[in-house]
Amino acid sequence: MKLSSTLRNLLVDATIFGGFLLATDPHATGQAIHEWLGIAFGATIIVHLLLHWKWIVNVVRRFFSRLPGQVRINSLLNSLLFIAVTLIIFSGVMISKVVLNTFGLSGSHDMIWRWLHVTATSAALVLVGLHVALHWKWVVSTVKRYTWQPVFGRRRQNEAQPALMSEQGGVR
Amino acid sequence: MKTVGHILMILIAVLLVIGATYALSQTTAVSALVGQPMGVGASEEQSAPAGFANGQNNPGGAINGRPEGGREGGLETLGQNLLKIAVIVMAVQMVWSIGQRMRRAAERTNRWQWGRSG
Repeated sequence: MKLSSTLRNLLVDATIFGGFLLATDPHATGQAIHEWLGIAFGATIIVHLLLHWKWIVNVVRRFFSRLPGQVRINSLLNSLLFIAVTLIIFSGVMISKVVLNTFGLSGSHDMIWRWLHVTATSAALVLVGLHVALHWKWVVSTVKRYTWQPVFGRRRQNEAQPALMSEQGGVR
Repeated sequence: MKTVGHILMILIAVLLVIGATYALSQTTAVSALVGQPMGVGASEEQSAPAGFANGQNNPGGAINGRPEGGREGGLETLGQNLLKIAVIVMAVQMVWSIGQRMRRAAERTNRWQWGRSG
Protein backbone atom coordinates (compact mmCIF):
# COMPACT_ATOMS: atom_id res chain seq x y z
CA MET A 1 0.00 0.00 0.00
CA LYS A 2 1.41 3.37 -0.99
CA LEU A 3 0.52 6.31 1.23
CA SER A 4 0.05 9.72 -0.29
CA SER A 5 2.26 12.41 1.23
CA THR A 6 -0.79 14.23 2.62
CA LEU A 7 -2.12 11.12 4.35
CA ARG A 8 1.34 10.29 5.68
CA ASN A 9 1.67 13.82 7.10
CA LEU A 10 -1.77 13.55 8.66
CA LEU A 11 -0.91 10.24 10.32
CA VAL A 12 2.42 11.53 11.66
CA ASP A 13 0.83 14.76 12.91
CA ALA A 14 -2.04 12.91 14.57
CA THR A 15 0.46 10.54 16.24
CA ILE A 16 2.52 13.50 17.51
CA PHE A 17 -0.56 15.32 18.77
CA GLY A 18 -1.93 12.26 20.54
CA GLY A 19 1.50 11.42 21.95
CA PHE A 20 1.98 14.96 23.23
CA LEU A 21 -1.39 15.01 24.96
CA LEU A 22 -0.79 11.61 26.55
CA ALA A 23 2.71 12.61 27.64
CA THR A 24 1.36 15.70 29.40
CA ASP A 25 -0.63 13.47 31.77
CA PRO A 26 1.79 11.20 33.64
CA HIS A 27 -0.95 10.45 36.17
CA ALA A 28 -2.93 8.70 33.46
CA THR A 29 -0.04 6.85 31.84
CA GLY A 30 2.25 6.15 34.79
CA GLN A 31 5.86 7.26 35.07
CA ALA A 32 7.40 4.58 32.82
CA ILE A 33 5.06 5.14 29.86
CA HIS A 34 5.42 8.89 30.35
CA GLU A 35 9.19 8.71 30.00
CA TRP A 36 9.35 6.22 27.11
CA LEU A 37 6.58 8.11 25.34
CA GLY A 38 8.65 11.27 25.68
CA ILE A 39 11.61 9.56 24.00
CA ALA A 40 9.40 8.21 21.20
CA PHE A 41 7.85 11.67 20.89
CA GLY A 42 11.29 13.16 20.28
CA ALA A 43 11.98 10.60 17.56
CA THR A 44 8.63 11.30 15.89
CA ILE A 45 9.35 15.04 15.97
CA ILE A 46 12.56 14.35 14.02
CA VAL A 47 10.48 12.45 11.42
CA HIS A 48 8.04 15.39 11.29
CA LEU A 49 10.94 17.79 10.65
CA LEU A 50 12.40 15.52 7.96
CA LEU A 51 9.02 15.32 6.21
CA HIS A 52 8.88 19.13 6.09
CA TRP A 53 12.59 19.66 5.49
CA LYS A 54 12.09 21.39 2.09
CA TRP A 55 9.75 23.94 3.69
CA ILE A 56 12.22 24.58 6.52
CA VAL A 57 15.13 25.10 4.12
CA ASN A 58 13.05 27.45 1.90
CA VAL A 59 11.87 29.53 4.85
CA VAL A 60 15.35 29.81 6.38
CA ARG A 61 16.77 30.91 2.99
CA ARG A 62 14.12 33.54 2.41
CA PHE A 63 13.53 34.63 6.01
CA PHE A 64 15.36 37.95 5.73
CA SER A 65 14.20 38.70 2.20
CA ARG A 66 10.71 38.27 0.76
CA LEU A 67 8.36 36.10 2.80
CA PRO A 68 4.58 36.37 3.36
CA GLY A 69 3.63 37.55 6.84
CA GLN A 70 1.76 34.39 7.75
CA VAL A 71 4.71 32.18 6.79
CA ARG A 72 7.04 34.38 8.84
CA ILE A 73 4.80 34.09 11.91
CA ASN A 74 4.47 30.37 11.32
CA SER A 75 8.23 29.88 11.13
CA LEU A 76 8.85 31.93 14.29
CA LEU A 77 6.22 29.92 16.12
CA ASN A 78 7.71 26.66 14.87
CA SER A 79 11.18 27.73 16.03
CA LEU A 80 9.82 28.48 19.52
CA LEU A 81 8.01 25.15 19.56
CA PHE A 82 11.19 23.35 18.55
CA ILE A 83 13.10 25.05 21.39
CA ALA A 84 10.33 24.19 23.87
CA VAL A 85 10.21 20.52 22.79
CA THR A 86 14.01 20.24 22.93
CA LEU A 87 13.97 21.68 26.46
CA ILE A 88 11.16 19.33 27.53
CA ILE A 89 12.98 16.25 26.25
CA PHE A 90 16.40 17.27 27.57
CA SER A 91 15.14 18.24 31.03
CA GLY A 92 12.94 15.14 31.03
CA VAL A 93 15.96 12.94 30.43
CA MET A 94 17.85 14.78 33.18
CA ILE A 95 15.14 14.05 35.79
CA SER A 96 14.30 10.62 34.36
CA LYS A 97 13.81 7.74 36.78
CA VAL A 98 12.85 4.84 34.53
CA VAL A 99 14.72 5.49 31.25
CA LEU A 100 18.06 6.33 32.86
CA ASN A 101 17.61 3.45 35.29
CA THR A 102 17.33 1.08 32.31
CA PHE A 103 20.86 2.10 31.28
CA GLY A 104 22.18 1.90 34.83
CA LEU A 105 22.27 5.67 35.28
CA SER A 106 20.52 7.93 37.74
CA GLY A 107 18.87 11.27 37.05
CA SER A 108 19.57 14.63 38.59
CA HIS A 109 17.68 15.75 41.70
CA ASP A 110 18.27 19.40 40.90
CA MET A 111 14.94 21.24 41.00
CA ILE A 112 15.95 23.51 38.11
CA TRP A 113 15.48 20.62 35.61
CA ARG A 114 12.05 19.87 36.98
CA TRP A 115 11.10 23.55 36.83
CA LEU A 116 12.42 23.75 33.24
CA HIS A 117 10.51 20.58 32.30
CA VAL A 118 7.21 21.93 33.66
CA THR A 119 7.63 25.48 32.36
CA ALA A 120 8.64 24.34 28.87
CA THR A 121 5.62 22.00 28.81
CA SER A 122 3.24 24.81 29.74
CA ALA A 123 4.76 26.97 26.99
CA ALA A 124 4.62 24.09 24.50
CA LEU A 125 0.93 23.56 25.24
CA VAL A 126 0.15 27.13 24.15
CA LEU A 127 2.51 26.87 21.16
CA VAL A 128 0.95 23.58 20.05
CA GLY A 129 -2.46 25.24 20.22
CA LEU A 130 -1.23 28.11 18.03
CA HIS A 131 0.52 25.66 15.68
CA VAL A 132 -2.69 23.66 15.23
CA ALA A 133 -4.69 26.88 14.83
CA LEU A 134 -2.42 28.13 12.04
CA HIS A 135 -2.81 24.81 10.20
CA TRP A 136 -6.50 24.39 11.02
CA LYS A 137 -7.70 24.73 7.41
CA TRP A 138 -5.32 21.98 6.31
CA VAL A 139 -6.34 19.76 9.24
CA VAL A 140 -10.06 20.13 8.50
CA SER A 141 -9.74 19.64 4.73
CA THR A 142 -7.42 16.61 5.09
CA VAL A 143 -9.52 14.91 7.76
CA LYS A 144 -12.58 15.53 5.57
CA ARG A 145 -10.80 14.11 2.55
CA TYR A 146 -9.56 10.93 4.23
CA THR A 147 -12.25 10.15 6.80
CA TRP A 148 -15.49 11.93 5.97
CA GLN A 149 -15.55 11.71 2.19
CA PRO A 150 -14.64 8.00 1.81
CA VAL A 151 -17.58 7.08 4.09
CA PHE A 152 -20.24 9.68 3.39
CA GLY A 153 -19.16 10.47 -0.18
CA ARG A 154 -19.58 6.81 -1.14
CA ARG A 155 -22.95 6.60 0.60
CA ARG A 156 -24.13 9.69 -1.23
CA GLN A 157 -22.85 8.18 -4.49
CA ASN A 158 -24.77 4.95 -3.77
CA GLU A 159 -27.90 6.92 -2.99
CA ALA A 160 -27.54 8.93 -6.17
CA GLN A 161 -26.97 5.89 -8.40
CA PRO A 162 -30.44 4.26 -8.16
CA ALA A 163 -32.05 7.65 -8.74
CA LEU A 164 -29.90 8.13 -11.82
CA MET A 165 -30.76 4.62 -13.04
CA SER A 166 -34.50 5.24 -12.65
CA GLU A 167 -34.17 8.55 -14.44
CA GLN A 168 -32.33 6.84 -17.27
CA GLY A 169 -35.02 4.13 -17.34
CA GLY A 170 -37.68 6.81 -17.57
CA VAL A 171 -36.00 8.42 -20.55
CA ARG A 172 -35.82 5.13 -22.38
CA MET B 1 10.97 10.04 0.57
CA LYS B 2 10.71 6.26 0.49
CA THR B 3 13.45 6.06 3.13
CA VAL B 4 11.65 8.62 5.30
CA GLY B 5 8.50 6.54 5.00
CA HIS B 6 10.40 3.45 6.14
CA ILE B 7 11.93 5.33 9.10
CA LEU B 8 8.47 6.55 10.05
CA MET B 9 7.00 3.04 9.92
CA ILE B 10 9.84 1.69 12.07
CA LEU B 11 9.40 4.49 14.63
CA ILE B 12 5.66 3.96 14.87
CA ALA B 13 6.23 0.21 15.21
CA VAL B 14 8.79 0.83 17.99
CA LEU B 15 6.30 3.11 19.74
CA LEU B 16 3.60 0.46 19.53
CA VAL B 17 5.93 -2.29 20.76
CA ILE B 18 7.06 -0.18 23.74
CA GLY B 19 3.45 0.62 24.64
CA ALA B 20 2.29 -2.96 24.25
CA THR B 21 5.23 -4.32 26.28
CA TYR B 22 4.57 -1.90 29.10
CA ALA B 23 0.82 -2.54 29.03
CA LEU B 24 1.52 -6.30 29.21
CA SER B 25 3.98 -5.84 32.07
CA GLN B 26 1.22 -4.06 34.01
CA THR B 27 -1.20 -6.98 33.87
CA THR B 28 -1.52 -9.17 36.96
CA ALA B 29 -0.91 -12.41 35.06
CA VAL B 30 2.44 -11.33 33.62
CA SER B 31 3.54 -9.78 36.93
CA ALA B 32 2.69 -13.04 38.71
CA LEU B 33 4.60 -15.04 36.10
CA VAL B 34 7.67 -12.83 36.37
CA GLY B 35 7.26 -12.61 40.13
CA GLN B 36 7.53 -8.83 40.32
CA PRO B 37 5.27 -6.20 41.83
CA MET B 38 2.83 -4.38 39.55
CA GLY B 39 4.41 -1.78 37.32
CA VAL B 40 7.97 -1.07 36.31
CA GLY B 41 9.79 0.55 39.19
CA ALA B 42 6.68 0.55 41.34
CA SER B 43 8.66 1.48 44.44
CA GLU B 44 10.31 4.42 42.67
CA GLU B 45 6.95 5.65 41.51
CA GLN B 46 5.95 6.42 45.07
CA SER B 47 8.52 9.17 45.21
CA ALA B 48 8.38 10.09 41.53
CA PRO B 49 7.79 13.79 41.05
CA ALA B 50 5.20 13.34 38.35
CA GLY B 51 2.59 15.77 37.16
CA PHE B 52 2.01 18.48 34.64
CA ALA B 53 -1.19 19.88 35.97
CA ASN B 54 -1.33 23.24 37.70
CA GLY B 55 0.54 23.12 40.95
CA GLN B 56 3.06 20.59 39.75
CA ASN B 57 5.88 22.59 41.26
CA ASN B 58 4.80 21.42 44.66
CA PRO B 59 7.58 19.05 45.73
CA GLY B 60 6.47 16.12 47.82
CA GLY B 61 2.94 17.42 48.12
CA ALA B 62 -0.34 16.86 46.38
CA ILE B 63 -1.05 17.88 42.80
CA ASN B 64 -4.53 19.28 42.30
CA GLY B 65 -5.59 17.55 45.47
CA ARG B 66 -4.21 14.23 44.23
CA PRO B 67 -1.28 12.50 45.88
CA GLU B 68 1.94 13.00 43.96
CA GLY B 69 3.45 10.04 42.11
CA GLY B 70 1.83 6.72 41.38
CA ARG B 71 -0.81 6.05 38.81
CA GLU B 72 -4.29 7.45 39.13
CA GLY B 73 -5.70 6.16 35.86
CA GLY B 74 -7.71 9.34 35.27
CA LEU B 75 -7.46 11.44 32.15
CA GLU B 76 -8.27 14.70 33.91
CA THR B 77 -5.12 16.61 32.92
CA LEU B 78 -5.25 15.26 29.38
CA GLY B 79 -8.81 16.53 29.02
CA GLN B 80 -7.88 19.91 30.47
CA ASN B 81 -4.94 20.25 28.10
CA LEU B 82 -7.07 19.24 25.12
CA LEU B 83 -9.60 21.87 26.17
CA LYS B 84 -6.86 24.52 26.42
CA ILE B 85 -5.67 23.70 22.90
CA ALA B 86 -9.25 23.76 21.58
CA VAL B 87 -9.82 27.20 23.16
CA ILE B 88 -6.61 28.54 21.57
CA VAL B 89 -7.61 27.14 18.15
CA MET B 90 -11.10 28.65 18.44
CA ALA B 91 -9.75 32.02 19.57
CA VAL B 92 -7.26 32.19 16.69
CA GLN B 93 -9.94 31.15 14.20
CA MET B 94 -12.28 33.85 15.51
CA VAL B 95 -9.61 36.56 15.37
CA TRP B 96 -8.63 35.38 11.87
CA SER B 97 -12.22 35.41 10.66
CA ILE B 98 -12.87 38.90 12.09
CA GLY B 99 -9.64 40.13 10.46
CA GLN B 100 -10.66 38.69 7.10
CA ARG B 101 -14.10 40.33 7.29
CA MET B 102 -12.60 43.68 8.26
CA ARG B 103 -10.13 43.47 5.40
CA ARG B 104 -12.90 42.61 2.94
CA ALA B 105 -15.03 45.48 4.24
CA ALA B 106 -12.09 47.88 3.90
CA GLU B 107 -11.47 46.68 0.34
CA ARG B 108 -15.13 47.17 -0.51
CA THR B 109 -15.07 50.72 0.94
CA ASN B 110 -11.91 51.54 -0.98
CA ARG B 111 -13.45 50.26 -4.22
CA TRP B 112 -16.59 52.30 -3.59
CA GLN B 113 -14.54 55.46 -2.92
CA TRP B 114 -12.46 54.88 -6.09
CA GLY B 115 -15.68 54.41 -8.04
CA ARG B 116 -17.06 57.69 -6.73
CA SER B 117 -13.89 59.66 -7.39
CA GLY B 118 -13.50 58.13 -10.87
